[in-house]
Amino acid sequence: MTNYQLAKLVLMAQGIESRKRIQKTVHLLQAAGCRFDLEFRLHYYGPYSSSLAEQLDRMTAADMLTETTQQIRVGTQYNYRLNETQQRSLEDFEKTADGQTAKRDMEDYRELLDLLRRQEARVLELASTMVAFRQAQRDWDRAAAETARFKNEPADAPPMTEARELAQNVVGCNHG
Amino acid sequence: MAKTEKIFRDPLYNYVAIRGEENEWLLDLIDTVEVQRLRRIHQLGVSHFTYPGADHTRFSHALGVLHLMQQAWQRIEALSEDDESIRHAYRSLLAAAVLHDVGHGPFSHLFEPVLKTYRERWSHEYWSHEHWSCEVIRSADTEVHQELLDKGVDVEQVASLIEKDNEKPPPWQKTLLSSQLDVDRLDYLQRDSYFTGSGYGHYDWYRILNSFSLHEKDDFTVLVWPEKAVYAIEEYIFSRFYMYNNVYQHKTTRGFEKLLQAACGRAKQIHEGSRDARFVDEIAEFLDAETPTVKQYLALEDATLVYQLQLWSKHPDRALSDLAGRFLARKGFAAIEDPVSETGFDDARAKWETTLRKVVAQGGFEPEEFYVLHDELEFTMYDPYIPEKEEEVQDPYNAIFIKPEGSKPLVEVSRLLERLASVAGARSEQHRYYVPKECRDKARQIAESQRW
Repeated sequence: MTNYQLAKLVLMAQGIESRKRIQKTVHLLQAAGCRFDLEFRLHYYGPYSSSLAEQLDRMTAADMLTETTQQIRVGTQYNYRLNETQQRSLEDFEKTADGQTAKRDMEDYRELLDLLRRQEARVLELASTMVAFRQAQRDWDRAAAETARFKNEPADAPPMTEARELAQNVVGCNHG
Repeated sequence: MAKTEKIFRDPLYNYVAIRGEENEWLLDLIDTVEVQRLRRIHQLGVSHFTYPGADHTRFSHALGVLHLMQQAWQRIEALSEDDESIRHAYRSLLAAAVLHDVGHGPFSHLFEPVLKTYRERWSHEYWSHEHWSCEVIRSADTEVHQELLDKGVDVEQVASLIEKDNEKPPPWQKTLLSSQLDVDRLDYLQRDSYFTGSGYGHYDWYRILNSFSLHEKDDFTVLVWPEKAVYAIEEYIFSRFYMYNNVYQHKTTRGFEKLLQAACGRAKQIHEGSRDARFVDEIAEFLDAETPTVKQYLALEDATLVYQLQLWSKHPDRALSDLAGRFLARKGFAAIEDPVSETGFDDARAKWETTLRKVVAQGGFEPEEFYVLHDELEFTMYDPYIPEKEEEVQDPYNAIFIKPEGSKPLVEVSRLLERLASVAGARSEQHRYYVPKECRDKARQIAESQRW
């Protein structure tokens, strides 16, 4: 994933709250065909990319992203956005030929990103896990069943139904 | 000595012992052709170009991991209180320890990017040695598979412990073999330190493997350590950091890795241009197969690749013979430190690479793409410990959990030891470039004279 892609994603989403939400959003966008070229592994809480986690920290350190913290029940949550200077820098790049191409590629996924933004964190997590199982050559029924078992969620619970719909929608976007 | 006791002498642990009739099957597993092949695969790729002593192999590492798994098992056995579900894992864990690297190609991790170049149409998991280790275990054509079957070891369970993203085994079993603190790393950091002579691999592994406990977290059983183990873990994390920076990312070693990959890339280009790349039989057979078999893959060893380079060093293609000849003669390219600032979104890196290509072309080196070698360090196989910072995203695979006294919740180790922040934090993106030594001065001059 390029620095531009990650910054643009945060900008298009008007900021993203929590690193878990970023992980799942990026995983689902990649499953939809976005060329991030990240390797995800199925961790304890679902698909996770250590490269993406590192990239967030690198870009924050290089002042390409703004990180804020918020105390929540389970500790500290990290939120990300672009400040005005970072946004201007991004827009300057978008005026170049390479920037225009990169911008077009990301804009193609705006609608899907808007859909992901509206989801509850739990639904995103379940959908992302279901997509991972589906990618491991399982059919949708089996992927849903394994997700329910892996995430300890009743198979007929409303978040599972929403997650399956979302997961199928995401994978259906990928025509690559 | 009866077959029921076998001792391997080892420079780290002195004795790696397999004792008792109930463990005899391990000796037969070690004696399979696929495990014995690991004697002919360098553990550290071409690090022996930099560290002359680093000639140890994947075989000795496999035995070391087995030894540490045996040690860990003693602890688990003491904790399990005859829990059958835990004891059931014994043979699979030991088999996975022996077999976890059985799918390594020539020069270990060095071969994975070569495979990526040669088999672009495969999905990325096929380039990894874990994939091939699982193939060796599952394929009915291997001695490993037959031995496991004959001895009643659950083949699928062994593969699931090694296979990425296979969620079937409980986390405590998978993380014992592959996580931020596992028997694999505990062995290779010490072993690589010993054989390179670099001396960074000192930590109290005995305490680490004799102090963990099994803990229920979110309906899973995970490994956790008590507060009294934090200093041993701290030593381990520092050791990992030093080894990463000084050995695994060594400028000279990485340069030779890139050079070998460039030679393989040029040969592929020649082959695709319908010219004879003069592949040795084993490599040609592997490349020509639509779906290579495990046997075709395992026919590739360090010596196969070295012989291939000897052939290429006499190839009529000027670039191929030059790249192969430089590798064999240990005449590496010169490293140019990265002059590109990573603080903008612009295309500075592409511009810098274009400039470097012009420099080597002016020096008479063509095709330029094989004479400007880019090394992006984040994609290497070894890494320092960088825990996930948000508690909600921390899990047993990406964090090392400490269980404080009393009923306090688990805490990630670097939260307890502030000193770790200096080595366990995010690092800046690291890039290096390599060009022929003949072009070094010009390239460095340009790198210093302009802001990128």
